[in-house]
Parts: sequence; C-alpha cells; structure tokens
Amino acid sequence: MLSPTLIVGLHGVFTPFPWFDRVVERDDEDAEGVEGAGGVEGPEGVEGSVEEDLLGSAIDRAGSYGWQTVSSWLTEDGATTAAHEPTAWAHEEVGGDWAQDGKVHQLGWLQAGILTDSPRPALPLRPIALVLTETLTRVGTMEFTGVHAVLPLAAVKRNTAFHQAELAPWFGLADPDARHEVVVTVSCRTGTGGVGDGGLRAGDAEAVCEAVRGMAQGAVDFSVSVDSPGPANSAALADSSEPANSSESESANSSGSGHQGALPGLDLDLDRGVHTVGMREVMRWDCRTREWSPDIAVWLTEMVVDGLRGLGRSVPVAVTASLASPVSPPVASPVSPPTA
Amino acid sequence: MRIRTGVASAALAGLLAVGVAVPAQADSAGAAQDRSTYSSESARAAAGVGAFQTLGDRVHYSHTVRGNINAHGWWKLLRGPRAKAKVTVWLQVKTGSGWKTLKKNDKTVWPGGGSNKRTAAAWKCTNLIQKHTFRSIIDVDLIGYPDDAYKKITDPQTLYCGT
Repeated sequence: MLSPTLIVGLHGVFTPFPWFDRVVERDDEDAEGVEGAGGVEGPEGVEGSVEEDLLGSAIDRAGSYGWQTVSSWLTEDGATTAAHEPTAWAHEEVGGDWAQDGKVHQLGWLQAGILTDSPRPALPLRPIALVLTETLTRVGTMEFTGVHAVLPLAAVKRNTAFHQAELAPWFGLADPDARHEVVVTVSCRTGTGGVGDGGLRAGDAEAVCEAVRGMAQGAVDFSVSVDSPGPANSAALADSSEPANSSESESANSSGSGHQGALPGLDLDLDRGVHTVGMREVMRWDCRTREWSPDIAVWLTEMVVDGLRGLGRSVPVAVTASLASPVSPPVASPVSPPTA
Repeated sequence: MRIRTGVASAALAGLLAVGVAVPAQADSAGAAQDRSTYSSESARAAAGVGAFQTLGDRVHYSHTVRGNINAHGWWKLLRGPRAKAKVTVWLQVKTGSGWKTLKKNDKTVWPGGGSNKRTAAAWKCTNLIQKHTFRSIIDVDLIGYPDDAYKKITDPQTLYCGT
C-alpha cells in the first residue's frame, strides 16, 4: 500500500517571548554545510531555520506523551539494546514562518506519515495540533487565526471507538455570551472528484452541514455559506486556476488560489504546497462558536472529515477552520524578531 | 540553532572528557571510519560512551520540493561525555535482487536533531508515476568511541517515485 501523508498547519501571528533571543541563538558553526528539510530547500537539501529547529521539539513533546513518531535505536555502553518504531504517526518534516511583520503566517506545520498497519489506524490531527501548539506557545505568544489539514481520507476507515459527538459536552463548557465567527472550507482536486470514485458531489455541503450539526449538538452554529462554490461548480473552479502565488504572507481577504479572493477566512495558497497543488475550494460553511482556539478549530475540522467520510468520500482533501476576520496587527513588536 | 542552557560547567566537563578520548581523526567528517581502529581501546571507551539514541524518519516526500524524497538521521546523547558523531544515511530502493543505494550522505554533528544536527539524503524522482519501495539505513559513529555494527533500518515505504 502507498504510504499516505497528513499535514497539519497552524496559522496566525506569532510574537516571541522577550527572553527568546537570550535563550535561542544561531550557531554559526553548526550552520555550515546544512543539508536537511524545511525552509528553503535545494535539490539536495535545505537551509535550516530557527522555526524548523524549535518546532522539531514537537517530536520530543509527542514522545513524552507516549506517542512514538520516529524510528529510534538505543545504544548503551556500546551495544544496541532497544529499537522502537512509530506508534502514533511517522514524523516526516516540520517547519514554520515567524516573520515579524504583523501579518498572518503559517506559524507551524508538521508533515507525518499515517500508520496504516497500526491496530487502530487514525488521522492524528488532534495530537499533532496539540504538540505544535505547545511548541509554539513554549517560546512565544500566538494569535491563532486558523488551522489547515491535508488529509488522505482513504488511508483510514472511520473511528468506531471515538465519536466527535463525544466532545460536544466539552465544548459546551464555554462562555455562553461569547461569539466567534468562523469559516470552514474543504478543497480538493476537482478533476479527480468524479461520481462513484470517492469524490465530492453536489449536495455534499448540505449533507456535511447536517452531519456536523448532529455531532455538535448545539455547541456551535453551522450553516452552508452563500459563498460555497460546490462541486457542481468544479468546472468554473478549474477555470479559475491561477499561477502559484509567491507571497510569503497570508491574508484573510487577499486573492489566492485557495478560493476566489475577497472571501473571509484563511486563504491557503494551495498551489504553493507540494501536497495541495491543483486543489481548489469546493465547499464552505459559516460557523459561530463560543470560543476560539486550536482545540475547537480541530474539532470543526474533525467533524467535517467525519461528515465527508459518512458520505463515503475518500479523495484527499484540505480542510481549513479559521476566523472569518483577520486579527488586528500588533501595535508594536515588544521584542526583536528571532534570528532566522 | 543552539539553546543556551546555562549549564556551562557540565558542557566544559564533557568537552574535557572528549579531549582525552578523541583520536586524531576526530573532526574529519569526510574520512572513512574503520571500526577496527577503535578495537584496542574499546574496553576503556565503551565504559565512557554512556547511552545515546540513533533516530531517523522514514523515507518520505519533501514538503517543499516537489518530486523529491528525503530521509534524515540524527542522534541524541542520553548519558556520557558531550561528543560529535558522524551520522551516515543511505537512501535505498528495492530492486529485484535486493536494495540499491540511491544516495549516501554523512555529516559530523553534535547530538540533538534539527536542521543543523542531522544528515539528510534526498533523491530527485525521475517521475511521479513509477511505484517503488524505499528505505533508509542510519549509522551513528561517535567520534572516538566504538559502537556495535547493528544496522538501523527504517520501515520500507512505497511511493510514486521513479529512480
């Protein structure tokens, strides 16, 4: 079986703690002869970054929870005494962009292999988002604006042990007077989404909406957006393909390849991502929540995924859950940017 | 990237310990390593090497370069004097008669991982149509210390990547 890959990205505005530069420094000696992955990559390797190095701590953080994510061998006094293989996901690459310009950036992302031979295969979206969040907030403050996940739906079957509806009481424990306007979207390669092969169909947005409402049990308001393009418009979407946008920043209202521009929410530059090139937004929902956090953003994403899976959809998709309005830029950066 | 821990005395002690044990070729990252070189001092060095982890990810598509597959290897020191290690990564493809090395890289690095403390082996796929099975082998040679010949091989991964 092919080795399927999942990607989780957290977006927002990041401000390093004032002590950041006193604790983290670039080591010129180690920077020589860099070969690796993440950041600006050449044919053979990449130039590393502080973001990549620090976000690599997510591997250790995952390990501390008992989530083995890399292959490891223990050598003690000259002899190999133990070997371990990934049990939760297979870490592949990690990175982020902490540019200090007040704009929304992809602050942290992690690419992982799905363990299809696991006793209970799953898409580990929530644990990856958790360790990314913990790693980011370990070294700075994060104004979180959205999550995106590239998900190989065909890699795993539905989880019959845990149901997203079980989290409805959890998210019901929130300020009843709080309101956050959120946008949830699904993108896929419209050319591969034909009827009968696991692809998305007209009417899916409404069906997923009903499924999410059922799981959320009133903890969030969820409705199909008037801006939802729908698979029926896939031809028009395909025609709207644009060259890859090389802009490094993301804007909630900028034109890009993720959607048609001038729409609220996270505008993923799908053509810039190796794993999302060719995808286009095909569904969009408006959502009102009583909190805003990576936690609830992941829940919205997971519910949409379950909704799609319940309809038998199995094409690779990119799902976003993001604030409808962008965050206000900080008035002034309290610290100098991290050395990058 | 380095994280200032403030434990200067421990680092100094480690460096001193390495200084005693390191043979002349210690910093020659490109020099061939011959395990037999260390055999005469293995009893002394084995006691001082302590414990370390060899770590690696499975062969996977690059996140940033379309059509590339990558494999990485790094190490972590758990117990013992601070030292560098030569980390070698082989990226291999399965053939009818066994495994063929597509790329081999080595780098002498401090323990820890991250972009600057690991060895990467990358392969530019000739196409994204042919399906092949790939794996990586990782070897960590601590500079100045013996180790075993245990082959660290990651799980095979099937990817659309022409060779």
